Amino acid sequence: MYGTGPTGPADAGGPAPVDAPTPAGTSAHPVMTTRIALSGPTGGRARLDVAGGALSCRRLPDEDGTVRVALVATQALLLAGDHVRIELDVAPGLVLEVVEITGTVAYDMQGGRASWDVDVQVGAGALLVWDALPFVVATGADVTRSARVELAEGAVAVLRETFVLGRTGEAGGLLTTSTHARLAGRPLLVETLTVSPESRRDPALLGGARCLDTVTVLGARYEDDAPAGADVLQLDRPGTLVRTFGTDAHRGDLAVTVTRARAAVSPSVVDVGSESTAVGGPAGSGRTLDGGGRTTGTP
Amino acid sequence: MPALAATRLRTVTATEAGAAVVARHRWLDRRDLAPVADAWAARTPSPAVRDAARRLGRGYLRLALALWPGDLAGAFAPGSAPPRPLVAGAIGAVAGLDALQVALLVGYDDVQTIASAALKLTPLDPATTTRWVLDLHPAVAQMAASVAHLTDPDDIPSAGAPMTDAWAQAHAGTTRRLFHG
Repeated sequence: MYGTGPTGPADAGGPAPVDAPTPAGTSAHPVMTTRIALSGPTGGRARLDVAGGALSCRRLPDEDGTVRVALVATQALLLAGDHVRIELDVAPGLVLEVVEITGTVAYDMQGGRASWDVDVQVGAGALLVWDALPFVVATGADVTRSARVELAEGAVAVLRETFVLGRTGEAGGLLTTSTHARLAGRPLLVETLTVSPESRRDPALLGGARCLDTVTVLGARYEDDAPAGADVLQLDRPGTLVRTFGTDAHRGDLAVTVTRARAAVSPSVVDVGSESTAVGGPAGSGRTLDGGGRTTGTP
Repeated sequence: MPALAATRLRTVTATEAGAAVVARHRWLDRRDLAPVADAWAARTPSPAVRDAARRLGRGYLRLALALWPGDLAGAFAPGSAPPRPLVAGAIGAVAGLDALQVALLVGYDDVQTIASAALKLTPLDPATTTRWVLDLHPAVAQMAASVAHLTDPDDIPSAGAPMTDAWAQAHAGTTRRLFHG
């Protein structure tokens, strides 16, 4: 069996410094790895290999060439000592959509810590869509999250992350979350954020927001409409952050952004959901190779 | 205002100072600065902030070419706009500054910029803003000490300030702009 309950000795030490290496599992708290690998010839029958850790995988019916996998928690998450790891590997030319059934609450860890690491590889011309449900940081939680995304040339990932500070009426705990994305071997997005009551109070960090909702498009530019009040940040190389600062984790504001981004980067994929009227951006927007302003010389 | 400067020192200014330190190191090693520019750009998601850094970098470069023509000639492509931290690192290298001095310079410059901007916006006594800058020195020194050892672009700090990015975009888009960048 994987994982342990909330018992066991708490890890020593204070809050992790920013950019701290992710704590590895220990013998008492092994890393619980969920692996999803999609392979096969482009246009052929895709082969899906899954191995479940704390999250098990259920294959859903394909939709228009998109292989869909649901992540289902097999145990209470996220508790002190839990080290969740999710590995996704999408072979060239294929489309994988990861669906979450429930959000995740990082509970009071009573001095302990937990980690949640995602490692993504997207092959040339492949697309990964992951519209994650809210990640709630309860008071007393101390979590380090990381996402490493390696995109081959022409690969695209559309990822959503919603961080919520505290359950209703709670101040919330500490989350340090980092994203390291590379496109064709060069840095695309490197960002470390701290979600905590202190960063919520800081006008320059979260500016009072309890909820930070981000759609990250990597390998393509999102140039379609964004919800009113959303910030749209075009990265230097092909990629876009669409971000809202909210007071609660109401779903929906950026859900349409995920749908539109996906439509824009994969014209062959037709969404059958309620937002099927959404139109994508200009065809092929961003599927172009890197045109990011290289402005440096060599000494 | 001092709180804003302190937050910037822990986030965006640490990124800029780290990039300047690594740029100085690679310059002295006669190595390509492009990976430093890539690392800096990936850690700077706001186009408005990147544009401002490149405008400032171009200005710094023009000045530096006049002051140290022999050292910097041909270092950057003609007409290019390298971001300010790259030029600050190169200037530090040719001016004989060590890594800690380059990081202190970047940190002090950011704090002083905020203090100067505050004077333009609010009827403060300049002595007040000077006191802010003095009081922030320990925070500047702490930030500089945390990045002075860096030599690898991948190790440049990446702590973001999401609301600061949002402000930068909003300011760039407004018709009532007060400042460049």
